[in-house]
Amino acid sequence: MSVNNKKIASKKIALVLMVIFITGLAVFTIYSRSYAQRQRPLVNVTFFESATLVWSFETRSTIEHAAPMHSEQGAEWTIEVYVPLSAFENYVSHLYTVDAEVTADGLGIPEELNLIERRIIDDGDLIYVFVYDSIRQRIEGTIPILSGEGVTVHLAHRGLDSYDFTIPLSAIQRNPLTDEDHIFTVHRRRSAWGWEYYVRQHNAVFLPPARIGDMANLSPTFDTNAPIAFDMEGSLYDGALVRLWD
Amino acid sequence: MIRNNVFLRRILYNARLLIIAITAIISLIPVAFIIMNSFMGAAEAAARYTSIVTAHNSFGVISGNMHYINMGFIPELISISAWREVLVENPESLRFMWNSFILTVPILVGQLVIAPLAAYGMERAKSKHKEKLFFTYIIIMLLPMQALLVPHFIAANMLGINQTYLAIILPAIFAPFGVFLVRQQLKGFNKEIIEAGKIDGANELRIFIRLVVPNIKPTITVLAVLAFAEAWNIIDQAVVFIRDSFALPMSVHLSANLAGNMGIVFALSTLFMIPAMIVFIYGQDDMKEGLGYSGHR
Repeated sequence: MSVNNKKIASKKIALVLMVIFITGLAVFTIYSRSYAQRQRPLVNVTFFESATLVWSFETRSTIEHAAPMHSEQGAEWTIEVYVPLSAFENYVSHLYTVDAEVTADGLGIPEELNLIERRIIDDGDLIYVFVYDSIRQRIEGTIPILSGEGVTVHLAHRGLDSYDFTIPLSAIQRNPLTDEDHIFTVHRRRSAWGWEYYVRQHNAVFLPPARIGDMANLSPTFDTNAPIAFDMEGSLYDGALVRLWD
Repeated sequence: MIRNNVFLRRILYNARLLIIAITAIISLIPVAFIIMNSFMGAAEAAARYTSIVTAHNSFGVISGNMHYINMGFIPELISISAWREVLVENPESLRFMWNSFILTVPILVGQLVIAPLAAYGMERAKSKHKEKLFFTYIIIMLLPMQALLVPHFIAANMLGINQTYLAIILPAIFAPFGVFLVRQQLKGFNKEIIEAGKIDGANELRIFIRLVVPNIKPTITVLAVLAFAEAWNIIDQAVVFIRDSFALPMSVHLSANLAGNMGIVFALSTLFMIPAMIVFIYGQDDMKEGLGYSGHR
């Protein structure tokens, strides 16, 4: 091979090698970025929410004639409702108001009730005593209520307190070794290829009632405006890199 | 006597070959060492290169801690974990390689465009001051780069390009070494070729592109190889002008990460060497030719 041909051949080899190198570098760059992203657990993000305690209960009872007619058109009837304390799931001390609806078997349509008394009897159950005002019913000329008639009572309890720092229960991660509960705030920082998200671990300090439905009631021990991770795919640790649901 | 004695000449020839081979092997040992150690597992790399040993004096009293290195040419266990970490699991490393390319390619292209044109203009100019200007070029070329960093920094501030790649690329494009190299080659250029072009009606630019450049390709190739090597290994300017740690080139990132996983450092070093080797393969024949011509002069 002449000298010139050798030169051209070595230049061609060098060019081919450089093209292969740069192509390989590009391919590995793209693949490694997507690989690194896939390795990170997926998390959803939420913020502290305000919640009120709401609890409902439905039961059967009977209606009794309680007072004589206070006018020519109406009468007062009472309904006593027994609610076992075990049904309250520890919420009973946090529930303050009760809305109630009764559906008499004969009438078949719900009517609102006024609560006049709530007391705890000896075996720990609660009794609610409601007044059922039948004036409207008389005016509309519907079927009169009979004493001893069966009714279906629907009770809706509300707490007067609002709980300002609640988050979904799925945001709580329990350490199986120490039995400590943790929550994770999501933060953003610059990385080599733009932005990346990581989490910071905080101890979860519960306030009573610790649980409100699917929400956990917490004491805020960190910045309350920080986004909080929930619905995590896998366990997290302090400083773990995560990716967010789109 | 030596000239007539064939046996003695052969011995001397082989002795020269042996000395050159030994010198070449010695200079290749660091390269081979890095490549071989890039196939070392993380545990072995840590045990070999990051061990701290507590030193005791002759009285048995602790006298300090020493960083103990147990260099090994061939790993005990061949592993591609470092390469996997660099190429697949940690995309950050590759960002620094791309930063090096982003810095080097504009410098290379800029020098290859500016330096031959400037050298041709300087050679063809009919001015009594051109030698003084060329002398100034040589003085600037001989100045250490660190002496020029402060004026570069001030100029970059004035232009508003501080903390960008332009602060490094622009001074490098107009580096005087390339002009010096090409002008030295143009001094011995056959002027009759240029006259012939003028007679044919070509202007200076056409003469330069069609007649001069094809004849000084080896010199331009040498300039490309040297400019690439300088830009690829840039450290001082990158440390001064670039504050964003993710915008640093690989040359700086490597030196800043020596305390980390040594297997990864070796793998990154090997990766970093490859483009320089390829560029040298491209220009080796022209470099040999250039050295040969300089020997004749």
